[in-house]
Amino acid sequence: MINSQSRGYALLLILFLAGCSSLEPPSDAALMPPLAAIVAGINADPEFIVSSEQATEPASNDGANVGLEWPDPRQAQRWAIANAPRVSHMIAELQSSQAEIWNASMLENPGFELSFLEPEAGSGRWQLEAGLELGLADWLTRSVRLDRARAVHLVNQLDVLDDLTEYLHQIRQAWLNAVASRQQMAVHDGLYQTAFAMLEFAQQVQAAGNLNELDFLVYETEHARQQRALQAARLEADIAISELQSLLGLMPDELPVLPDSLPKVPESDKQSLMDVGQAMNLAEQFQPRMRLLDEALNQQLAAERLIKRQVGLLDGAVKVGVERETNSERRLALGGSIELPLFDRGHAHLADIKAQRSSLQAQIEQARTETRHTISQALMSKRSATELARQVDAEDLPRHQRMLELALQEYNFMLRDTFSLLTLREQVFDAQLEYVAHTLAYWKAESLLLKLTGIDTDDVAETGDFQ
Amino acid sequence: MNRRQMIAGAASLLGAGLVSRAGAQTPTALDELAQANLTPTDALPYTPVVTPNGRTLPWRMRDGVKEFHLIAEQVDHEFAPGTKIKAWGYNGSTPGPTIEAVEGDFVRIYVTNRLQEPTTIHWHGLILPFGMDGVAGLTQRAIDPGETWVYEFELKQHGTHMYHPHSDEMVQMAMGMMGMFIIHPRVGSNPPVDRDYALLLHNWAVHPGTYRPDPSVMVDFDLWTMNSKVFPAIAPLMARTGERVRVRIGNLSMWNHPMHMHGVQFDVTGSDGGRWPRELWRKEVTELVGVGQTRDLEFNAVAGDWPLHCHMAHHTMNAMGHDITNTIGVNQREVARRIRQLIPGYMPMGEHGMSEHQMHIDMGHMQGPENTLPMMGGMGPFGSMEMGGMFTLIKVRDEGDELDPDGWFSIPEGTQAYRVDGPPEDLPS
Repeated sequence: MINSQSRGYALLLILFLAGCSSLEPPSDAALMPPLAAIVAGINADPEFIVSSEQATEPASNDGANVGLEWPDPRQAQRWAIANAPRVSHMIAELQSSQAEIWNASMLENPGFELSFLEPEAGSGRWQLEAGLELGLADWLTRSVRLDRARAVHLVNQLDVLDDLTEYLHQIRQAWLNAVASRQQMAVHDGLYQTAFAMLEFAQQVQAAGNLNELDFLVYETEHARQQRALQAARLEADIAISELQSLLGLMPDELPVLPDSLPKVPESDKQSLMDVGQAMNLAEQFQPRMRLLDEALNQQLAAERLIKRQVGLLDGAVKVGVERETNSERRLALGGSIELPLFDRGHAHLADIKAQRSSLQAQIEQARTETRHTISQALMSKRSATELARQVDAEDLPRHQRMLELALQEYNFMLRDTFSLLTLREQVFDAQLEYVAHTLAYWKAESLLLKLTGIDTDDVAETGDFQ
Repeated sequence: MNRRQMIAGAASLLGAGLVSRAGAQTPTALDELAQANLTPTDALPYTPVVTPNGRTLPWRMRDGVKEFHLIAEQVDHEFAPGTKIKAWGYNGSTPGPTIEAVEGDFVRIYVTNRLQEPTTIHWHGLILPFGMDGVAGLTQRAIDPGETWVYEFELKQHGTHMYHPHSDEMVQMAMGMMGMFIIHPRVGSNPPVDRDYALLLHNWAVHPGTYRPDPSVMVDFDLWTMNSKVFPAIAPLMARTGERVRVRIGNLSMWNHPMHMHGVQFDVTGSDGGRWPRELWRKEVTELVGVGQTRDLEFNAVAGDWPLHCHMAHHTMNAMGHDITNTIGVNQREVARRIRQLIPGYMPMGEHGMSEHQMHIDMGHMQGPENTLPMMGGMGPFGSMEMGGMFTLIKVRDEGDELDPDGWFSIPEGTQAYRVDGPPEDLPS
């Protein structure tokens, strides 16, 4: 009787258990839009994901490195997403988070027990007992566990997104620093060339007997000062490039090809017109850090629900057994057990969750306040830098150039001398340095706003397959 | 109008009635003065003075008094083509018209102030009643804008004199307010002069690119002028060979000027003290005319185009830089390339001197500042003259030769320096 029936039960059981053991990650593990787009973009064309050796081979001309030509910071960010070890690390973290949610969807494995008992009289067959035990809590809390796992996954994604946003911000800043420092170095080189021309001219004037040593030393001192300034500017440029390389995981000889100057400050800039309230709205929608804190709060709520469910269900298990007696008679055994919530009723976990929630709420308030202030400062900096850069570019530099033209006309009429002309040329370079400083301040403020409002990562994601 | 016409025009006004510019503000005697016809007359007991680039102030006789009208006003002035300023002067010019009268004349001079600030006129060196001396606050209240005042006095002397404001004097003189006041002796000169010229020396601070003189400058003036003109725009002094020529020079600039004449030894015959007794005359080729002084230089003209100039060399330059690097002997061939990379258009100058400056300017490839004359200029029959400022020519022609201010002297054969292949070998040096 039991033969055919028990075989049937066993078969059903096996099928059921097989069905419970998921082989594919659940659809809940899908990534949120920017991350999904980024991961899809990287995987879209595996050929594009070049190895660092391929990416950094020196170009045949001017020593440029193929694949490292970054005329704007976005190109560097895209390259980083496709190639930088830090992004690989972040994607691995995402995969780990996906595995976690998969893991949460699974049930606890059933316990199987097999025992043999020697016959009492030394005759007959060994008594055999086989049993299968399955915990009930996993069955009954699966949906809550999945809810919590989804919440954790969301938090994990936002954590990665926050890291990625910060990383992209760092790349943008490093790109700006690298370009600005090169631009400044070029201006310092101009200043040095001017001082050198002054010195050379002074040497000739002194050689002709028309300049005393005291006056000559003034030019020699200025030359030395500009030489030191150029050296410092070179060091700053080298360090800035090194920082960019470090961020992107490049070797020192893998030199990116950068433009000679920062982009000009745009004539009209919507973000400059944006007020703090509008920027805060964007931040609350897109900034990973603020979203992370919100979702962490949800995660704590899910964890609380799980604990309450687990405690309320009086965790138990069911057992199914088959016993073969010494006389070969077979019997079916059924059983069950429950945990008695006498000592651990989950109250300690609940207290911890409550404290975590309070902490998160405080962090959310703090993050909002900090973001609002930082946005306000960034907008102020941006507006100021816009005006100052515009003034220097549209007014000061043309004025200095005009002064130089007029001075040259005076020189032509022997009303002014060569030293005076070169001094005015220095002033043009000084104005250029000032312009670079204001332009850099503008783009850094812009970069900070992009980070704070969280729209930088979304914009990068929208650029597609990173080619 | 060319220079010849200008001189002829100035001469035609001599001894005439009244200047048409003498605008009066009310229909009074001044109005009549302004509208009177100019009537040249030959009945002058003296050789009239010619003021190169200027003119003589017309007058009329009224009840035995010689009446003049000076109008202090802002004027547009050109030192030479290329440099114009808003100056202050009299009757539309700087210097103001030359006043010419005769010892013993009773003169009545109306002075109308069309400036925006008070003024007076001081009759420099004239012997006159205290109340007519024109010193603001001391001899009279200053003439307010819009007012007309009258100065009346008898000319008790003769000589070469000047007039200028004595109210905000530094500014008003720096702006160009001055003029010559020539008093001929009642009895004619002996020997008589055939031509009588008046030159008033002055200095100006017209900074490159500006259009109004800077009155606060004490030393570094840009322009040195004769009758408020700079060479090569100063009209030459014309004469016939053998003529007796007098050049009256007054100095209302801030520097003394050693005036040097080529070609003759002139007699210094007078000053603002009048014509000197013959025994005080002295032969000179250079006469220092101090600030506030006048000197009369007389000579018998010798054919040629003879320079007359201040011998302070920088006074025969136009606008030039001060405290600039001395580039004489400075080899800039290498450094110039470097500088041109920084300042396109830079051209080294001055290694072998400054004469290349005029060459560059004349070639037209060196643009200068707005409203500024090049330091040197002037083209003679044989090339660049490399002069400016207080420099002019006395052009003397033989009878029968055209008296053309624009023409050049034809040098008789055998009387001009000439080039040889080299000095004789045995010539000591």
